[in-house]
Amino acid sequence: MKKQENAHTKKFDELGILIVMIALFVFLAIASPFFLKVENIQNLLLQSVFVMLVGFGMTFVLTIGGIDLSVGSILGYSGAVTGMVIAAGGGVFPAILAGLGTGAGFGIINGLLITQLKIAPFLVTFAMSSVVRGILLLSTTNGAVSGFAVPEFTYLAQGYIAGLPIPVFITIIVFVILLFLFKFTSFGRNVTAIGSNREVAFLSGVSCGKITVGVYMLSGLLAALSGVLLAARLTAVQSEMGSGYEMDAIAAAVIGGTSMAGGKGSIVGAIIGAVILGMISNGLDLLSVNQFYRQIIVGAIIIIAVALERFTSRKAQRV
Amino acid sequence: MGNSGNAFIEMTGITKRFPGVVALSDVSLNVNRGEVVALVGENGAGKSTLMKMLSGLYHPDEGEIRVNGKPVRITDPGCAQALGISTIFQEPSLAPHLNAVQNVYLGREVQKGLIGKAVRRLDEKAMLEETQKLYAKFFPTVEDVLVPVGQMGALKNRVIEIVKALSIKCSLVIMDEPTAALAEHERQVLFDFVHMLKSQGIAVIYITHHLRELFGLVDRIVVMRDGKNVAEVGPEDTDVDDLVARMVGRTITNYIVKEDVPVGGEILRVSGLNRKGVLEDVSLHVNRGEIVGLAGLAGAGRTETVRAIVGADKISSGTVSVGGRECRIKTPKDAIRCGIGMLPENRKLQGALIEQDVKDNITLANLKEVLAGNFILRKNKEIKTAKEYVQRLGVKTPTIYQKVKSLSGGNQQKVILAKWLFTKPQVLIFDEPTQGIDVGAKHEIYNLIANFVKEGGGILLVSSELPELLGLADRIYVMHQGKIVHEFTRAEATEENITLYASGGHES
Repeated sequence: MKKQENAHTKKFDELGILIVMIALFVFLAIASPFFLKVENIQNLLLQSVFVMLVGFGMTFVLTIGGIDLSVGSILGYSGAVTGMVIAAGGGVFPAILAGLGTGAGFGIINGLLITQLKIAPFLVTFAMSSVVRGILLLSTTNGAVSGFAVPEFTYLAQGYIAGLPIPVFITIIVFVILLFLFKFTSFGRNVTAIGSNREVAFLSGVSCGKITVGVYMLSGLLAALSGVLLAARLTAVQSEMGSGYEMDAIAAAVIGGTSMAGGKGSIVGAIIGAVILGMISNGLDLLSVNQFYRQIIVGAIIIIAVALERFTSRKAQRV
Repeated sequence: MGNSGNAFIEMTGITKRFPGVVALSDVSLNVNRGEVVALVGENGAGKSTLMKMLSGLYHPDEGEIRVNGKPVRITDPGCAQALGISTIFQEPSLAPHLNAVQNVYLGREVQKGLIGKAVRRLDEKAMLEETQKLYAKFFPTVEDVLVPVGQMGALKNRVIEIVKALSIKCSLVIMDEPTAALAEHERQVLFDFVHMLKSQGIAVIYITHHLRELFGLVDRIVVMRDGKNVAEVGPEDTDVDDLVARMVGRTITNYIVKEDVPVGGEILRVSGLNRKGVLEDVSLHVNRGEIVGLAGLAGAGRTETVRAIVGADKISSGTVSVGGRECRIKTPKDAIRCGIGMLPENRKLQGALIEQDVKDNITLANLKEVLAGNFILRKNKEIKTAKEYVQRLGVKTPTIYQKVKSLSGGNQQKVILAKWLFTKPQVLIFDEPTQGIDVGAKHEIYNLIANFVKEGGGILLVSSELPELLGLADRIYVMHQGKIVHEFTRAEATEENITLYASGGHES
């Protein structure tokens, strides 16, 4: 009996948000004749994947009971590093590695500060966000980072594989890897365990420190990947690139059913969350509504999603 | 009796049930104006539960509380204050960064009009003067009422709590272990305060484990056991031994059947564990086939000892050996590798991931056993393992995908035990394994413990339930104030002599 109830609530969690996405999809399809055009759908997906990649990382971070506010800055600076290396003639492939390494490196620093100095993740990543943004501002004192739009690099953003824009294609591959990591490895299991109750995990012999550093590294790495792809798409890196991405990433994860309190996360949910955010932007464009409404809507959605999550988990507790 | 005119509090027929347990059963307690009443009993006897009814934290399921002869419902702590009941909790409840004045008036600051009555400001002067007046009753010098209380010693903190209680114009002060953090000469000062309260007509309910303190201090001693009143005596008619006998004097239910298991070689040796202010030179050992008890009062250092053994807390010195080989244990992970498992005292906060399912909990501490390579979970093996342990331990759960929080306490404990058995330990440490578990499930846990030692394992058992320790253990160590003060063989140990050592009584 109880088992059925639980299975029921579990299904409802993911189903509910899927229904919201479909409803929004149907609404936009009816409201705008352009919405269902192939170019628009491609564009929508392309717009969504940058947040989605960061959202995947955020899902891990939130599931372990942390938060990463530095992803927006890391995204911007990692893109800039890749651009600068290419512009300096370092070659596309090493440049991408340098960008990804930068993101992973800042992630490791976040993780070490959190685990070794025992500072709250909110504070560490909030401060790190400022530091990294400052470094990016210094790198762009003479104007945006540019001059790296070599065809081999811009192809990353402008090419297509199997009818899908390459960033979408890459995101699908990353998704498959992360889903596996989250659900079918000891790493994913331990992330959930630590977020569920760090003391229990610690007493059960889980290496809480290592896993936590790993999670923040992953978050930094995914932000960097998003930054590299975004740089390829924009062909120049402004000092403000990526700012606000931390909010969208948190929104995507939370809308997707990941708990801000830790212990519960959904990689599939992050996809749905990011697509919903993308559809809101896209829909406002198509309906010629001021994009500034987006910020208000996203904020409201985060509050609603968290409130719903609290409500359902409190209900579940009464079982 | 209620019409004597002198009774301040009359509690009659108080019953309180928690899921699975009757915490209080038909308990009565009267306190007269200006009377000092001691409330004594073992851990879990129901003293705190009873007091929480007076401070408005719990509400009785049955029974009546009268204050000044009038029946009342004490709905919350504010209501208790309004009735003149003030509680000084065992844990200091002062805000450390605020000074004495600010603490005394916290939440009910005195204000005065600044512009008419609409805009008001704090009346610092009035609060300071009143605090100083009350404070001067205790200390001739009053200069430090403006120092943050966190910078003061334990005694002054206690005094400030008493001043706070007095400033509320209370008629009854409940003191829960007020001497816990105090040195001997400071205790004397506190006792003087109790006398002072009494002389002002204020009643005191005094809860303590230190029975010797009561003589010369209190007017009446109420003894509780297993949620019931068992005795009410004047201090002149009793002594420490008599009180201990009354506290533990329950009929020992003989539901623990001790099996004869051959005792083998030494499996666990702990030498010279030290942790500043917590543990002092704790040494013990456990042999194969042996159940070793660790007794003591709350705060004696039992939990701290077992946490230190498994590396959950840092220690300043000491060694742990398993099977004659010294283990370097820095974290619980090391302890698991050495073959030591520890079931912590709080199932929900430390034992199980209650939001996760049975399967994930069982494999958590030994995930590497169900991995392919270093990384990838073999779901089939995991499911097989979980099912096997659920069956072996008789965990009552519909499936292995059930969230642990929806299981009963006994079944949660079995899931936690399954987790540890899956690590294939040589030594298992249990910290209060049957707290809050019903009798039937207790019995099953005892059987599982017995099976473990029959297979050659060793067990260290921390328990506040003396019948449990006496029934299961081959030897019992008794701790008091961070030290092991005595070791009893099974034949020597009785509830009376354990309690005597646990409360420091042997020192007199």
